[in-house]
Amino acid sequence: METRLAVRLKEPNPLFTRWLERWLREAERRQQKSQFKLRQALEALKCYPLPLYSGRDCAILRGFGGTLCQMIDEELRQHRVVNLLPPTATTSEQYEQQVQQVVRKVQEKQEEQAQKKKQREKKPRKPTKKDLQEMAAAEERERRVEMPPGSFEILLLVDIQETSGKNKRVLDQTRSYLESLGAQHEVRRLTIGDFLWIAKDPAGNELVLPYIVERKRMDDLASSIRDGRFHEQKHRLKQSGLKHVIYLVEDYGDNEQLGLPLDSLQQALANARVQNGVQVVRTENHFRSMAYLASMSRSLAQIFGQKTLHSVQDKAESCCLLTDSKLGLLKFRALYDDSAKNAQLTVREVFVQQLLQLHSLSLERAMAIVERYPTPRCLLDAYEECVEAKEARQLLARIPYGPLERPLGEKVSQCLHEFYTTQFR
Amino acid sequence: MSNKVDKLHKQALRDQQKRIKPGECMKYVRVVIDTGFLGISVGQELLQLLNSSTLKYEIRSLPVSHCIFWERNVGQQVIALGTSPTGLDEAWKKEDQVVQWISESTFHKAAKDQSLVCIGPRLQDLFPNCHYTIALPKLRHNKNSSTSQDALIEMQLLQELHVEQLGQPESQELLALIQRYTKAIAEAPYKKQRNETLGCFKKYVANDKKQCVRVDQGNGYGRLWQQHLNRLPQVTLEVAESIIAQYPCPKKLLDHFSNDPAAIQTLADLKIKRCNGPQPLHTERRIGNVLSNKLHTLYNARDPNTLI
Repeated sequence: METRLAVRLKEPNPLFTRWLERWLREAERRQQKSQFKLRQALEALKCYPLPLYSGRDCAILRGFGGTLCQMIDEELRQHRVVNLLPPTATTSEQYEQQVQQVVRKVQEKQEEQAQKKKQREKKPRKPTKKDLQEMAAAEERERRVEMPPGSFEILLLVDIQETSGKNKRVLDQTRSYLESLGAQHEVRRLTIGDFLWIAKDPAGNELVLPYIVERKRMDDLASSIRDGRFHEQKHRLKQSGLKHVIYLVEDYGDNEQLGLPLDSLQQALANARVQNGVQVVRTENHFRSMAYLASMSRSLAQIFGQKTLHSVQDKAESCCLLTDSKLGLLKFRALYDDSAKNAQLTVREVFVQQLLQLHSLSLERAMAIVERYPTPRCLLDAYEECVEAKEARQLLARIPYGPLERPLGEKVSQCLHEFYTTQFR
Repeated sequence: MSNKVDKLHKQALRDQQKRIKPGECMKYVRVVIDTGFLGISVGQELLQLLNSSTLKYEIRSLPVSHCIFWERNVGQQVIALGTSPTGLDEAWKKEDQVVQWISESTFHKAAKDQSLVCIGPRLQDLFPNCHYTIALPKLRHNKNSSTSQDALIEMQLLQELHVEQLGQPESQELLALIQRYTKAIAEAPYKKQRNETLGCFKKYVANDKKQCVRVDQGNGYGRLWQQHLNRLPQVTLEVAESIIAQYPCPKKLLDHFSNDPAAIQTLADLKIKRCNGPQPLHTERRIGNVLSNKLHTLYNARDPNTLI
């Protein structure tokens, strides 16, 4: 830790000070006019923290006119002849040495104090506001919530961003449809999914039912498949901890102008069903989608209304069989925080994505590299540790990848080495 | 001795890889269809269509009428029960998807006499540990349709059944469904293998080949550098170009971080060159501290789980 030291000489200019004092006493005794200026100069000199090495240097100070400076220089010359004072260069050296001494003394004292502190018992610090907030949040997370049958209501949550055109009009339409269908709902910011259901009790506790719905119009589906968002979203939904993921897929007119062949979209949905265990529900239009949700709300209210619900903390504990009368569910807050956090990237993830930008690097190859060098810095450190450039160029060549454990090869190794270590531009 | 085992092992792996490769894998999966289909018009049409498709299929008498499942050839062999030139038969392993077709009338009848609830348990009994899909023709929207919809939803929720509603002509739609499922099932092991490597990632690591940079004899590094920078969500095209203008290669940026004690601040103060020329009301004309810190973290962190 760095500390700033302000080092001040106790008496930076003892010689000049004494001379001025002498002259001032003389002037006062003789009642000379010069005493006023002398007094001023003396004050200024006493205030000045740095050593001055000649009369001319003193000119910067108040009260030091040309005459006074010359007097000092003259006195200095005589003083030197008499006392064989070393030249000014060494005096400034001395000053530096003195400063160093002071610094050393302060450092020693600091060490002493640090040791003393370690030996002494540490007094408990008062918790800061942030500490208190964190403790409160942790307690809330761990508090067990129980909801016996009849003590809660099932509420549909609609994501505030639930639109297919990112405009408020569609959200309004969603809400009006739901209202006309008699489906009680609340609009909220959801970090994952478009629709969720919670069990809410009068105390304000909220547990999430294990169903999460993502609504996709066919044209949305097509564009999200093309830019890769579809897979990412599916992945996130599956990792949410809510067991039943439902894609509510809505027709877009006659499904002709979609940007991808209808066949491809249907295959993608079949894949989601078979390979990812996602439920796919097809509807004809917005109203029918809302009708489906309203119907689900009714059914869920019926099914869950008779159960005893309790909170669980771990995603893994939250699987529930509908035949059980007691069900463990995640808290809404926990789900929200967890999925918000999942939206952040780690260094490893970005590094892999960067590596994948190279055409000759497949996912398996990139993963093999990252297994060995998890961050760019690790790879760069390894390059630096190589004695020869040749070694560095071949650093990655022998790493095995994939189920067949083939080596990455020299080409890839050299390419990456050149990319990271040469100034190609 | 261990060398031979090694060789066999590698060969087995290669064979396995070949079998699950997309495209190839379709040859190793077949559809098993209940004989009940032969007795209904939809079934007969379906079989005609199947014959002119490339799908492999077999007809058997199954415990539940009008159901369909899949089997995969895993490359093992069993002693032939019937006649066979080699005395061996291919082993076919059953996959875990089951589709049951029901007609509209069956559905309405079951809805009336409350026997819809039996469909799921019966399937579970006869085909344990599978995923079940009910295929039925699209229900017409009439005055009873909301109860029908509710019944379907209850089936989905309570019995964990997937429901596929088939349009017209029904046999063609059913064939299309079978084709899609066959492809999905055939490619499932390949996808699973890929997902295992991805399992540790929270965010799906998209792998779009279109944007990849081909590097040839040192050409293309510039573009590669730009795409590296673009991997950070906050880096727009303009931001990337501004960074590249100052640090045209990774080495320059890395040197900057290691040589300049105020590196992060210097980078944060780097001006963003706007394409449209000077404009009034500009808020973000600097790279900014947040992004500068992220770049510093990215290239200096040794812990791969550091959040950016």
